[in-house]
Amino acid sequence: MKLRPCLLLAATSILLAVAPARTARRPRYGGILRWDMAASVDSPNFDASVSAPAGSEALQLRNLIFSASGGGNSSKGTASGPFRVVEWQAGKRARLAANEDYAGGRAYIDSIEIEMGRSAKERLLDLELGKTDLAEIPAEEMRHAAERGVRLTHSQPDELIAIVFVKGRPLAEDIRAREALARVIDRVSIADFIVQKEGQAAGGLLPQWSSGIEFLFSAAANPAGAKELWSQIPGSPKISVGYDAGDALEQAIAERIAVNAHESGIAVGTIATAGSGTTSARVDARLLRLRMGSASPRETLTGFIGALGPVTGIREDVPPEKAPAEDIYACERSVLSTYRVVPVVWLPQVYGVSERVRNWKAPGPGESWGLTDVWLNDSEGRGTSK
Amino acid sequence: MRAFAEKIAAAMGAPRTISLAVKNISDLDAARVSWVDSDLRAELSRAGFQVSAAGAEEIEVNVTLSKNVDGYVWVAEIRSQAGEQVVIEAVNQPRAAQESARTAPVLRKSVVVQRTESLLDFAETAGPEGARSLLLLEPDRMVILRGQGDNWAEHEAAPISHSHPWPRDARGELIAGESGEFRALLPGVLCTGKSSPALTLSCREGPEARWPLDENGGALWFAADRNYFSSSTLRDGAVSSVAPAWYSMAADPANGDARWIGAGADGNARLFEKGQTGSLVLGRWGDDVVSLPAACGANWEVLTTGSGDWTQADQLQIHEITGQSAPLSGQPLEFPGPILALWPGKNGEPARAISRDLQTGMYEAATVSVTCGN
Repeated sequence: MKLRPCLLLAATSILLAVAPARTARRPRYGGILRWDMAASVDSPNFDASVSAPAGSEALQLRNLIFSASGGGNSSKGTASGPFRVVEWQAGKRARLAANEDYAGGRAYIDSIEIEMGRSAKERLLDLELGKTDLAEIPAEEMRHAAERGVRLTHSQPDELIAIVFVKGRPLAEDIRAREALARVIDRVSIADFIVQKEGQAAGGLLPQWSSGIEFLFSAAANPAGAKELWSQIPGSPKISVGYDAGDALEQAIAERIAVNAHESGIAVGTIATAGSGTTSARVDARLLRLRMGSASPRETLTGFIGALGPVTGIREDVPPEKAPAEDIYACERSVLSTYRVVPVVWLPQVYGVSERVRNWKAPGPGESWGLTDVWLNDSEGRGTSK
Repeated sequence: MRAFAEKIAAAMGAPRTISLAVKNISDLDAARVSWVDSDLRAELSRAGFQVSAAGAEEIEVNVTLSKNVDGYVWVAEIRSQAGEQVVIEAVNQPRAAQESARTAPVLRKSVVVQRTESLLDFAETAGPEGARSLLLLEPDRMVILRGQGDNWAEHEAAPISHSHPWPRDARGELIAGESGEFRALLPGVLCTGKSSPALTLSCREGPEARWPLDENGGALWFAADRNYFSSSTLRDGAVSSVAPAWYSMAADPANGDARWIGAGADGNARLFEKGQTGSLVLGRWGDDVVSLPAACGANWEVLTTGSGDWTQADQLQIHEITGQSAPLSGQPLEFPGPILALWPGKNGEPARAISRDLQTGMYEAATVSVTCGN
């Protein structure tokens, strides 16, 4: 069957099928990605030996500029990663351009414009107004952001908020006090109301999606059991629980735990401390965020125990590689049975992305942000003439 | 199942009466759960245990079918007066069936091989003495696999030399002959070689490589540092001017290669016809389009990938070209991840698809054929 010549001669292009706009799959080249960062980074030449928190924006930014295997010399600012720095205003903004010689193949987008030090409120507003293409959103703001029409992606829950007892403090050394506090926490209501159902009540040190056995560690509260344990402690002690003064979520969780404790007759006071990484002499316990560095249960357990050791005094040998799952379970149970660390809630990493962003996938634990593979839908047909 | 039952039995010691309950918190369907339940009871009975439903037996075994980052995990909590023990068994993830509904025309997928390494294309060839042989085009290697029972084993490999990094979405097509000779078309690089009796490979670079489109001299010219064809030369010399570039183009095999459909970088699929200066926009299709041999009707049928991006599942669909329109025909064939490459078969052979399973991360080479159903 032939086409009617008159149709073809009349116009070079006739749209016959009016279908909803859909994007094709193969990546398009071109365009500028705008990224609102919460962090402020003074220089792109930060030393690789300085460890940034796993999954942090600063680390992600570094990975875009310096390739781990590309021989990049950070002190000289030599880019071997997928992007190179073309402009840097310390702590304020930066512009990166695609590295045409990147060994892994040139990125699809031409450049990235970064605004640094943006508050959560500013990031959300920028997403709503179409002023940015990518920004991290606090997990507890996820529902609110979705209601405001922001396009969201999120990872599996990979960040644990836990209470850790500070070694050496008299109350922290009493296992009855530790267990009483662990039993009194209503994790389900923390996950449902404070984290707006975007987190999961945590019973274990490893999330269910990673280990498959978190259900073996109950996250249910047991106020009666807590009361019984607390009654065995002489005097009228009060557990002081610290939280990061700059972290509204930690504050809300700490205050909820104090309420839970009060209902069982356990005295808990909350204290704001400067930063989550500091150990205040005034607190018996504090809230701590633990971010998974890998999807592997064993590697996560290794990382968490390593991070907890200096604060809590927990020393536990993690089973060797390829150890049976029972050994990982036994190790996790052993750590939890000390009640020196008390899991509270798991949080996902949440990202707001503009409608034009394609191939963006919320990274899993230990994964880099896939900005090299991201392309922009409105760059269709652009970047194809050189 | 037997290994799991043996672990449970070992944890309980001497055979006795036990109660068993199986709970599913994974994504296994009810039929599979029922099968696990009955099989586990049978294995424990075979080991000498009397198994009852959940009740007040001396030993209570609660089995939970769970899932973790690597696959399925079966957990048995064994409670007795002596205390509680936990037995855990990692289980291979069962594969879901991959076949579309049987309506006409019916697309069928046959998985050839799954690899952790990325793939660009593949060709089944004859090895020495009729042995099964599979030629794989990877971004940086040409690999020969030999059949060993139901599996493939790597037999030989040769590196593909290229002085510049490949584009991030590197594309490559393998054109294999009947006597073991082959050509591998890559961005700015043409490799030739033989797969038998021993693998030989020779590659040379050029700014743009010519990729054949049909048997009549039609060709596409690949942009060496991008993922598209920068121009095309059709049989009668007509060069596409409507779209700036093409991701793929298919020629009508039954019409003397006088009609072509191109998937443009602007997202539109266009129909060209010999002797005409313009083109007809058919709609916004996926980026990969190949012709199908005549199957269920008199009209030209083409296979296209779906829309979306590489973070999503994909599908193949048939469009039937009927004059000025190209309606969908039959049911789509679903893939558990993006289709990264789709190449046409020669002489009525099935099309070749390379996809990536989003759950397992494995690359899968498969042939896709079409038959007429009811």
